[in-house]
Amino acid sequence: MPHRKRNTIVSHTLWQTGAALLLSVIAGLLVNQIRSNGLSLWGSETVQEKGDLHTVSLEEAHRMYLDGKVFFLDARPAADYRLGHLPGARSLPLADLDRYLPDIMEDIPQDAVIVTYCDGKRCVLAGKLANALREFGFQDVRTLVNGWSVWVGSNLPTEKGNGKNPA
Amino acid sequence: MTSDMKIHQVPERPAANILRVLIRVILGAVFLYASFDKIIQPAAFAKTIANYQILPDILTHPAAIILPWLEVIIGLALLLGFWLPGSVFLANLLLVSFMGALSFNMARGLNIYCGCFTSTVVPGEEISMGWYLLRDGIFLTMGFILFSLVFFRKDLSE
Repeated sequence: MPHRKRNTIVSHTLWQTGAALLLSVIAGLLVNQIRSNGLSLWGSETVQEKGDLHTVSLEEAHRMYLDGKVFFLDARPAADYRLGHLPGARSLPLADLDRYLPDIMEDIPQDAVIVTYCDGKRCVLAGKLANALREFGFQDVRTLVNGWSVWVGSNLPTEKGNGKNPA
Repeated sequence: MTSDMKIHQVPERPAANILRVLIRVILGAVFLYASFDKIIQPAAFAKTIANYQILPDILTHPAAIILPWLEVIIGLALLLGFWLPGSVFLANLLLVSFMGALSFNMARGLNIYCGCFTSTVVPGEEISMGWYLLRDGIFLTMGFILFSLVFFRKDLSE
């Protein structure tokens, strides 16, 4: 390929790339300003999990477990539950919520202390499960953020197997 | 100008031309289509970006605001056939980045069961992760082919 032509296509690529980036920044910022559901430019409100008011720390969750008064609900899929879960926890995968909620929650009073958990800092399953349970009328539902990993990470006791698992 | 250059050039290969036009039209449509949801629902897109846990939180919103419009411009450019070297380069850059982000997260075991990639939990989502990978792989392959067809053309008259 002639040397001069290679330079031309490279310079074309460069200015076109720059122009495209510039246009998208302008278009994006403009539209974001004008619209009603625009985002704050440097904010992170979309990143915050809903239900922050209803979280428990690992220490609190452990204390509740030692007091023996809490119901742990594992919001992850059943396969993960079987490999290991919090002691005494019941499996209520968010994906199967409608199917299993009546059975799993049958013997849990509406004012019982319930803690949902899943795995990972950004996992949304436990928070959604907690919201759903509140809508069902359970009054004290909280979430252990990044549940499984932090519990295991502190070498707290766990169980394996089916436990109270519908599957 | 085109006819002047053609005197000194190797004749065009019609098959390569057809392939090039076909790929750029398809990819252009894909990019345009991909941008719509992101423009209509910026908050949901910001959430998706955050869930990949690759960008720092503070860059989530700027990315959610700018990226869809970049896709619009790339899509239009590919579809209509202007700014081709630049748009093809950018298209490949984006496709490689998406593929990289997806693969990286699968490799580090980001809990693909956790409903992180959509704003609603879809049962059997772990299956769709594989499909995303396959689909992006196909687009990436098309992008690479288009790249070589545009950047290594024998006459470079476009």
